[in-house]
Amino acid sequence: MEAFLLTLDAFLVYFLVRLITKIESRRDDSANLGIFAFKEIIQDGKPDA
Amino acid sequence: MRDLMFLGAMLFFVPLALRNAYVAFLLWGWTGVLLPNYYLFGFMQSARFNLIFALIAIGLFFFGRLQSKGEWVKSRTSVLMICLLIHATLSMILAKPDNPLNFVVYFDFLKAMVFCLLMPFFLSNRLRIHAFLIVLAIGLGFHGTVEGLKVIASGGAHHVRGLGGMMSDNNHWAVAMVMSLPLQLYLYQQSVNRLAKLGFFAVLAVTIISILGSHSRGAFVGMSMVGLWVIMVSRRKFLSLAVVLLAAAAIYNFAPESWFGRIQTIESADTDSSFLGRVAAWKISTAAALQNPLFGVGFHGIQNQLIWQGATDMALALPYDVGDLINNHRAAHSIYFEVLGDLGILGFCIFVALLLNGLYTRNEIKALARKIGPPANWARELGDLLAVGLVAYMVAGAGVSLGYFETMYAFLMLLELVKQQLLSQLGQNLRAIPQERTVSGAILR
Repeated sequence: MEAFLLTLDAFLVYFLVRLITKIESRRDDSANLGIFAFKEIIQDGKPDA
Repeated sequence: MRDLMFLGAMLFFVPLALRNAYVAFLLWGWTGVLLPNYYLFGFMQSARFNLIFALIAIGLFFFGRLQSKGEWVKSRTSVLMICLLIHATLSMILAKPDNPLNFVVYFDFLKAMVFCLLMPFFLSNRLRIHAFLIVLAIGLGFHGTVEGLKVIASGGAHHVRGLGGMMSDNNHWAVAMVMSLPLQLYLYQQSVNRLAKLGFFAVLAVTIISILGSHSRGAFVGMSMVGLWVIMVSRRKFLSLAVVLLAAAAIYNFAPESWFGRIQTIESADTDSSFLGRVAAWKISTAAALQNPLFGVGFHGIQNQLIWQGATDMALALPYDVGDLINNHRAAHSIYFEVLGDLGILGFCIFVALLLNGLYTRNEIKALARKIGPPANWARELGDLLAVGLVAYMVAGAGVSLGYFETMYAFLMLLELVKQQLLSQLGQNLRAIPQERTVSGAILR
């Protein structure tokens, strides 16, 4: 179980840092984090998702 | 097998870190809280994962390869951290001799401070802050998930013993897990994707079970404080109250007898030898600080029998008799007395100022978020939950030697960075107002 969770943990971090590498190489300030995306607020004060 | 897996992971991670300094910083933080060496038993056990990513991040930073570099802002938090670091360095140099732990603990503290003081440069926008929180949550959540599942699988019989490093026994481990709860909660609240939400919630629930499995009384008190504070700061108080009551009912019904037995010893603390041993350590730490008010006796000095004995006479003059326990050296068993004995009264004052500054910064975030409005809701929620983690540390830490815990200093710097983000946003808003008015002609005569 530990080995599986350790692998899953490493995979999640790999997935996240790959995503960040892509976002930063495009220098896209409006990008969000895919599956880890956070809520953003639009002008009328309501979340957009 | 897991060594091979981790070697494979490193083959992917290192090139990514070399390409992007921020990624190296994230991996530095992740390996710092994951402590992978304690889960590896083969040829990768002695690999210095943390050091590799720290060197890459620092190297790229000093060679100017960090994109979207944040600006250094002189703030109360950074000034207090630098003061504490300078003071700790002097305490280490002027420490009592023959203490092998002095430099070891100081060096760990130095690494933690370097990491935190570099945070403003790397975490320059909301996306980067959010990704950093995810990495911390994934790293800390791993420990909670592994141990929590063991507790569930054993029907509550598994006793979490701790790991190593800063989480070396069940109490230290449990305090770290209590501090991870607000992070998981924040990420659950802020995530858009249902799968991510579910994941963070599941880790939160299993981590709570793992904390119960540690049988740590301090962590139980800290966790109760997290529950109360979450109800107090939540905008949906009834929902929060319902969730906390549900969790309390689940604990009451499903926790094993041995856990209740352990927690009930809080009531008989005055006769409990574990507690009285702590009182002895607190008295010695106080005496050591009174003898060396400026710089203390050095890092974990009282764990040395000779240094302990040197403070015994003065400790005997202090109130509360603990009998023969005053003769045997032990750890300080409290973040406050640990810092008091190690760094003296002056170091203790800086440490407490740093903690209080964290809570004050949370109030500043709240006020700024109110001015900005809904776009700053994330910052207010993050400020509230980081403060929850800080309060949990301040409460649960009263019974454990975790004064130099890296995650706590990272929380303090995160609070400062969230405030800086809001100040920058407020500045942009204020600059935008005259332009808008000029365009619309509202203020033109």
